[in-house]
Amino acid sequence: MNRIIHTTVNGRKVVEENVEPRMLLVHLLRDRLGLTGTHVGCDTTNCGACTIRFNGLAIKSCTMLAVRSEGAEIMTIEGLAEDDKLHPIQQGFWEKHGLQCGYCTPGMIMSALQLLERYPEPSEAIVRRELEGNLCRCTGYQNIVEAVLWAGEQLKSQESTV
Amino acid sequence: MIPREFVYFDPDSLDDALGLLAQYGDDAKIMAGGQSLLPMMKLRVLSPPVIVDLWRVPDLAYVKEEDDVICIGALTTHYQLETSAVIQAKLAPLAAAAKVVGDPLVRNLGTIGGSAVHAAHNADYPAVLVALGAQMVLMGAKGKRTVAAETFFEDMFATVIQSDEVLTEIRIPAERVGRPGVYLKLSRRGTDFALVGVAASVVMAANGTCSEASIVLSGVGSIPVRAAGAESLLHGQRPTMELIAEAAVVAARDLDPPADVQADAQYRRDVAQVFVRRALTESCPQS
Repeated sequence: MNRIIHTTVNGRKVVEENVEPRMLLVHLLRDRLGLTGTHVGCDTTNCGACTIRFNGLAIKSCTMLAVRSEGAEIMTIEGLAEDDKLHPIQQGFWEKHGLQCGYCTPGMIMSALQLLERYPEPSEAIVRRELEGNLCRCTGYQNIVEAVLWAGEQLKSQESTV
Repeated sequence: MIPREFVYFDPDSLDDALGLLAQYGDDAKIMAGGQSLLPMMKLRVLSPPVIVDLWRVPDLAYVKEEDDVICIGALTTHYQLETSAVIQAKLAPLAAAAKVVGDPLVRNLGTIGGSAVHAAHNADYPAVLVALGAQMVLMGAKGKRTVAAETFFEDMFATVIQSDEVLTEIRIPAERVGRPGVYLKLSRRGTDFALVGVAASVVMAANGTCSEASIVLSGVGSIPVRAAGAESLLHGQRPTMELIAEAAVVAARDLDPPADVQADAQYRRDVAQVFVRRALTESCPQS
């Protein structure tokens, strides 16, 4: 029953053989493709440390079967920076000290990517609401919110200079 | 953990999916968004031998208006419902529920059909669907049948759906479309299931009285619970603050909610009273 999966991850075409139906997408990314920036946090679909971008949507990769990635376009945290240039959201987490241990951070950033697409000028309340799927044990969220708001401003000013 | 092994099919047509269900019977489980099913499989609370995944089946996610009836495809995601202009404008309680299921990530994948068939007692849609008088369209080996939401939910995690059937569509009748209404939910943390949820949909008469109130609660029984006593109190009456407060008291008094690790029965009753009052206050104009 094992399958061969053809998918695109961070712009690269990928073919993976021998994929069991019960393999979770997070394990395909981590164990087969070595993309360990995506983390397994809770095992109960709560924490969002596994958040990736899947066909343009932020999803919890621990709660999707790997076999569903057939034909999909996937972006993980590793795909966000362009060569050595950090994405504004990543830069924001640096500027505003939006992380401590860093475990939730890739998930937070991939979630924030969707958030800022849907709400380019979010209020603090919207940032907090739209990050409800991502839990952090270290920071108390304050600097995460600041980081996302900062990134939003950066993206907005980048657009207006285009 | 990871799920136990299973046989996996992802058919690309509804007919093929139905054929597989007919073939495998009780061994087969449908996967829609997987946002309730997969967590259970990962905990090995549920280990279906056969999974029939609907992700490739086309034309099951939509919001359509047919002669003032709103038809919602079973695989419409919570995010799609939340952002649908039609649902926002014409089915306020449903839009409100779609916004509070799980979290934004779960809402990208989870579906209204999957949630309805999963039938958790503290889920958000079942109460709303009963309040809106929804019709559940089921396709099976013997063809199509339609079941009223009121009779669809049988018990916690149990509906009338048979092992050879797929929920394909949910229809909201014209009488409930465009009516004022809300869905209010209390949960301890933002992404929890409902401790108590209240779905309200009212029909107001031209003279300012309430012709009909539909008040259905989530999380207070094994299936959605209709606050019939409160409803009849409002029937034909002007929805004043006093009457609404009285209806809320009646609604809470009539409940026999469970106690669990989240809350005891009395707390649920107390919350129900407050939320029924708020739901009616928000739904009834000039109360």
